[in-house]
Amino acid sequence: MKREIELKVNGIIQEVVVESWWSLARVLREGLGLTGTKISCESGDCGACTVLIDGKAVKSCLYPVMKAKNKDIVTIEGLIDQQGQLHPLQDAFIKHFAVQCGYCTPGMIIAAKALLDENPKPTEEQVKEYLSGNLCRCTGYKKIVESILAAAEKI
Amino acid sequence: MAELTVIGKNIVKIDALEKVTGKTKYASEEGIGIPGMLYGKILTSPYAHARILNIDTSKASRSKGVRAVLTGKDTPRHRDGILIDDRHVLCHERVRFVGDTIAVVAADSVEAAEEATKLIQVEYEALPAIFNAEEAMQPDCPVILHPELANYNRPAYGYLGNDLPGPNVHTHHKIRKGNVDKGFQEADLIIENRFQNDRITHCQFELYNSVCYPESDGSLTLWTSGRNAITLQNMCREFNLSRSKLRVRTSYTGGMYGLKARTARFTILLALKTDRPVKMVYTREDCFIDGLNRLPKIIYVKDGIKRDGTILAREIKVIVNTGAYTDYAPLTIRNGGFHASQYRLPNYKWDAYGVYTNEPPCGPLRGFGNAEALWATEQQMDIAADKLGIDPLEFRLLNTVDEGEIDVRGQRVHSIGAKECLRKAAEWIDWDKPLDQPKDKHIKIGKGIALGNKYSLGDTASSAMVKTNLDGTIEVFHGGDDCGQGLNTVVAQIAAEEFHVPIEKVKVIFGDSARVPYDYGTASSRSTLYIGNAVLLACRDAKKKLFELAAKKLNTTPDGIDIRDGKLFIISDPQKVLDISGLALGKSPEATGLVKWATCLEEGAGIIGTASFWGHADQEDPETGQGERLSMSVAYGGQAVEVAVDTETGIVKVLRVCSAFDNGKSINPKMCEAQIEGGVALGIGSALYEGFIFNDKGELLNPNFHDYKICSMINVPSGDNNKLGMVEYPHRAGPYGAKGVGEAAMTPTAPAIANAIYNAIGVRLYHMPMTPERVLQAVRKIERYHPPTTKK
Amino acid sequence: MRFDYLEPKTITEALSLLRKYKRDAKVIAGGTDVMVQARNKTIKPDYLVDITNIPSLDYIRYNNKHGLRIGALTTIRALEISAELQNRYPIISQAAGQLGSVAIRNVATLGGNLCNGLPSAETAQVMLALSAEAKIIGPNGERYVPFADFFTGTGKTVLKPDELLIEIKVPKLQPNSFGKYIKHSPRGTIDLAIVNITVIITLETDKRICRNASIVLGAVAPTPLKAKKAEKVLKGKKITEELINIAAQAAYDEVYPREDSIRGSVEYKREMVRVLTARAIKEIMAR
Repeated sequence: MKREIELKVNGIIQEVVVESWWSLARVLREGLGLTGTKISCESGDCGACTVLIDGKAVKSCLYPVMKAKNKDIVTIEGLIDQQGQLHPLQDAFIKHFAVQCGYCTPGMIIAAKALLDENPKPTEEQVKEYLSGNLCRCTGYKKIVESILAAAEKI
Repeated sequence: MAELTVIGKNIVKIDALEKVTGKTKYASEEGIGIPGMLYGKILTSPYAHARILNIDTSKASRSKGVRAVLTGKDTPRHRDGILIDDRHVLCHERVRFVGDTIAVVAADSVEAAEEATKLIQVEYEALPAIFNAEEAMQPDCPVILHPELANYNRPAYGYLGNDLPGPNVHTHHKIRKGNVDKGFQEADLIIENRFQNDRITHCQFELYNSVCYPESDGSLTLWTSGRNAITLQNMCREFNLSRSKLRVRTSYTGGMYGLKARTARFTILLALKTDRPVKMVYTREDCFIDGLNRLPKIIYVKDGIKRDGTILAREIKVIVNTGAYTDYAPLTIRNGGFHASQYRLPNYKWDAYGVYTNEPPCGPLRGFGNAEALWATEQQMDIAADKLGIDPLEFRLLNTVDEGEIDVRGQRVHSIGAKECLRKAAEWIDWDKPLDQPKDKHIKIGKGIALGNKYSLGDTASSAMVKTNLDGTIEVFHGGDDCGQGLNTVVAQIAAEEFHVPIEKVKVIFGDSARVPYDYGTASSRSTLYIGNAVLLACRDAKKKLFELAAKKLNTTPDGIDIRDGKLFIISDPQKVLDISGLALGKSPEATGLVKWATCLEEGAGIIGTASFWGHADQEDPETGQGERLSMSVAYGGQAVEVAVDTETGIVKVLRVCSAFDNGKSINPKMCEAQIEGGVALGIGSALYEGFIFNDKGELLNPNFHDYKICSMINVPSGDNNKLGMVEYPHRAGPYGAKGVGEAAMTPTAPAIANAIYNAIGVRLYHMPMTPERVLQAVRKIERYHPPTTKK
Repeated sequence: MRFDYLEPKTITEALSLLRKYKRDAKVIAGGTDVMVQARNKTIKPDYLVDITNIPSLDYIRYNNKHGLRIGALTTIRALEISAELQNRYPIISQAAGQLGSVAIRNVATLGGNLCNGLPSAETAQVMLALSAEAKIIGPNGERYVPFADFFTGTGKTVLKPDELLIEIKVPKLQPNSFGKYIKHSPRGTIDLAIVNITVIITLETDKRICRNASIVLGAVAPTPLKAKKAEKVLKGKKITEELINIAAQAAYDEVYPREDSIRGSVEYKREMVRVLTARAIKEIMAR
C-alpha cells in the first residue's frame, strides 16, 4: 500500500511516498536519492546497508521504512559537517588506503562512527569485535582497522 | 633516468574521496527514478537436467504491470559463449542445471516482475543428472549434456577440443616436457596424492546489475557492473547487432575478481522487445547460482624426487567440473598450467580436462586456475620435504627456477624474485624459531609456508589515448576497469609523472565503449602492465606532438623541450617558457575577430596522444603446451602463516600471515599492499570457510552470506607482526618495471595454511575448504561427512 | 512480497488486529528475522503488526523476592550491556552478546528471538536453562508458560495467532550458580551456530558438589533440548574430571540431530555436544 510519510534524514525532514513493505535502505536509495547506502547481501549479514538510527548502528536492508518514521536517521551523506569538513573517519579511510572498490565503505564508516560514539578509544580487538558484522571482500580489513584506530586518536 | 616524483609514491587514490562520502555512482545506481523504467526478473529451472516440453506464458503476460515475457523461442537460435559457443541466451529445449535461465519478464515494478515469473507454467521431463566430474568424464557416461559438442563453434583456442576422452569432456589441455617415465625411473622417491577444492564464488558486494536504454537512433546503451565496456560489446554477436549499435558503459565496479555480466544479455533482450529502458538487479541468490564461480578441481600429482631434494619428474592430471556450460572455463583450465612456472621441472606431464556436469557454470575468479593448482602442488612440496627430511623452505629454494632458465612451458624465466620472497616471508614469521605450544593441551600451533605466482596473459592488447588541454590538465582514456585495485590512480600517476603535473590535474575517462579505445579489460593481473604501458606510450606520443608544435614557437628542436605544470620550456634555458594555452589557434598572431575564441590548434583539433601495447605471444604447441612467449609476466609471492588448531573441534584460527611479493615495481606501494592484504582474506576464506554445498538434486543450499562464509574482520589477523613487503625485480616490459600482482596475492595462502595445519597436528587436509568438520575427521577419523540429502 | 504495515499503540489494539487478521498477520518487533523471512517467502503475510510502538514493554527489573522480569521488547543489545544482568544473571548477557553482530542486536528483541523459535536461538537456550516462564497475553487474558513447554517445533511456539508474548519471568538464581554459554561456529558470533550449549551449575557450599545442573543444547533437535540424562549424571555428585566426561558422553547419547543440516553432519554435531558440554563444565569449575 502506498503511504506518504515523513523521514528525518541527516537532520532534514522530507516527505516521501513509499510502499508499506519497503525497507529503509530501498527508500533511502530510490525515494530520497541517497545512494551512498548500499544493498548487497539482502539478509543482514554484510553491513553494506548500515545507517545510524537514533545514534545506533542498524542494518537498513532489514529495517522496515515504516518503522523509521519519527527516528533520527544518519547516512554516509550526513557525515560531512556544516563547513564541508570530512569526519575524521572519512579522512582516515582515505589516508590509510582503506578503500578499494568502496561498496562496503559507507556502511563500514557508519558502523565505525557508532563504535567511536560509544567507545572513543577502542582497542584493536574491540574494533574487530564491534565491526564483525561489516564484511569486506576487497581489503582484508587491516587498513580499515588502522584507519579506525587512527581516527580515534584524532577525535 | 630522472628521479621519479609520483611513481613509487603512496599517492592517495583519486576515487577515495567520492567513495568515503558515498557519492560514487556505481552501475547499481543507474536508472533509479527514471520514469518509464521497466524492471526485469528471471525464471530459472528447478531441475538439474530436464527437457522443456512446454512453456505457457499467457497468465504471466496478462498479469498486472507486465510488459514482456520472453522465453527461448524469443532468442536467437544460435548458441554463444566465450571459448565454446554452447549456450543460448535463454534455454531452448533443455535445462542443464538448477538455476538455468528459462524466461525473463519485464514489468512496471520489481514486485510485478517477480510475481509474473511465478505465473509462468513450465512442463518438464526430468532427465538423469550427473554431478561428479570423474564419473561424467567416462567414455560410457550415460548422461550426456551436450550431444552436439563436436559441432560447437570454438572462437579461440580450438585445439583444446582435441583428444577428448568422453562425451562430456569439452577441454583437454596438455603440457609435455622431457620424459616423465624416465624421470620416475631415476627417482629415489615417488609421491602420489589427490587434492580437491570445492566451488567458491566472488561475493562481489555490488549485486550483478544492468540497465539497457533504447536510444532514439535505434541503438542501445547498456550500463552494467563490469567487466569491461569493450569486451562486453561482443554480446552484440548474440543478438545479431552490429557493434556500433551497442554502447556499453560501466562505472567503478563494486568488486570484481572475475566476471559479472550475466544480467546484461537479459536487459538487452527485454529492451529490444519492449523498446523501453529495462533495469535488472540479480538477487544475492542469483549471484551465487548464476555467478560463474571458481572451478572445482580434482588434482592428481605424482612426483619423482631424488634423495638430495631435486625434483626429477612431475605428472599432473586435473579434472575440472566446469558445470553445465563452459564460459571461460577452457581458458582457465589451460592457464592453470602456468602455475608450474616457479620450479625447475625437467620432466613434466600435465593433462587438464574440463568436464560438463549438471552443476552451475564456472568462470574466472581471482587466480584463474592457478590458485587451485597451487593448492595441490604447494602441499605436495611439503609432503615431499617431510618424507625427505628436508626443511620445506630449503626444499623450495633448491627447486625454484632462476632468471634465464627455461620453464615447463618453454618460456625463458624473467623477473623472478621468488627466492627473496620466500626468504623474507620465512624470516618475518620467525621460521626457525620453535613455537611455544599453549597451555591448553587441545590447541596446537604450527607454521607453514608456500610459494605462489600468477602470470598475466601474453596474448591480449590494450590501447590508450591521452588528451592535453589548454588549461594544463590531462585527460587519460583507457578501456580497463577500476574495481578497487586502483587502476585509475595508477594511470593518473603515470600521466602526472610524464607531464610533471599534480595528480589533481589528471582526469581519467573509462567505462564507455563510445569514448574509450580498445582494451581486453581488467583481468589476469594485466592492467598495470598493459594499460599502464599503453597510457605511458600515449603520454609520450602526446608529448612528441606537443614538443613539435612548441619547438616552432620556441625556436628550438623538439628534443630540447620538456613540460611541467602546463608550461613548455627549453631544457637548457628553462626561463624560455610557453604556456600550453599559447598553442591555441585563438592565440595565433593571425587570429582575428571570433577566431580569437578558438581553442583548437592552428592545424588540428587538439593534442591527442595514442598508443597500443600488446603481447607478441606465441601460439602454444597443442600437443606439448610449449611456446617461447605465452605469458607476459609473472608475479611471485611467498607467504608464511601461523595457525592454531583446536584438536577437539577442528576449528582453525589464522594467527599470523607474513607475505613478501615481487611485483617488479610498485607504482603505488600502499595500493599494492592493499591488494596483498585483500588477497590474504580471500585466501583464508577459500582455505577455511568458503564452499558451495549442494544436495543430491543439484540444488545449492547456501546461496547467501550466512551459510556461505567469507572472512569477517575477526578472522583475518592484523597488527604489526603480520609483516608484508614488496620486493622489486623489474620486468623489462612493464611500465617502470611494474607487473600486476592482484591475483598472485592469494595464490600461496590456502596451501600455506594447510602446511601449517600439518605442522601443528601432523594431519594433512587434501580437500579445500578445511572446515572444522573436515579437520576433525582427519584428526579423529570419525564417520565420513555425507552431503545433505533432500528433505523427504 | 507485499504487505501492509500496521502500528498499534496499545496491547489491546495489537490483539484486536491479530484477532482480525489471524494467520494473514505476522507480529514484527525488530524485524531482523521477519524481514529476512518475508524476503525469502518463508512467510507471506498480508499484514505486519509492528508492536514496538506499544510503551512499557522494554524493561529489565529485578527484585529479591520475585527475581527478574524482562519486557519482551527489550533489545538484545540492552541485555548484553545491562549492568544489572551482568551482575545478577551474567549468562543472559553473555549469550545475548553472541547473537549476530552489534547492528542486529541493536534492534532485535528478546521477544522476537524467542518467538522465532529456532533451536539455536541464544535467548531460547538461556531462558530454558534458567527455568524461565513466558507471560502471554491473548483474548482470554494472561497465561504463563514455562519455556520447557514454549517451543513446539522448529520455528513453532505455543503462541496462538491472536496472542502476544509480553514478558519473560526468570526465577531467582540459587546461590553459587555459575553459567557458561558456548556457541560453536566456524567464524565467530556472526554465524548461525553449528551447535550451541548453555550450562548452569549450582554448587553446594562445598564447591565441588553439584546441587543442580541445567544443560541446554541447541541446533541438535527441533527445539532447544534439555540434556536431562547429562544433568542427572552431575546432580548431587562431586564434580571430577571423570564425572564431567561421563556427563558429556550422556549428552552425546541424548542427541540425534537431523541428517540434512548444512551446518554439520549428525556425527560431528554429536561430537561437538560432547566436547563443548565437557568444556563448559570445566570452565565453570575452573573459576
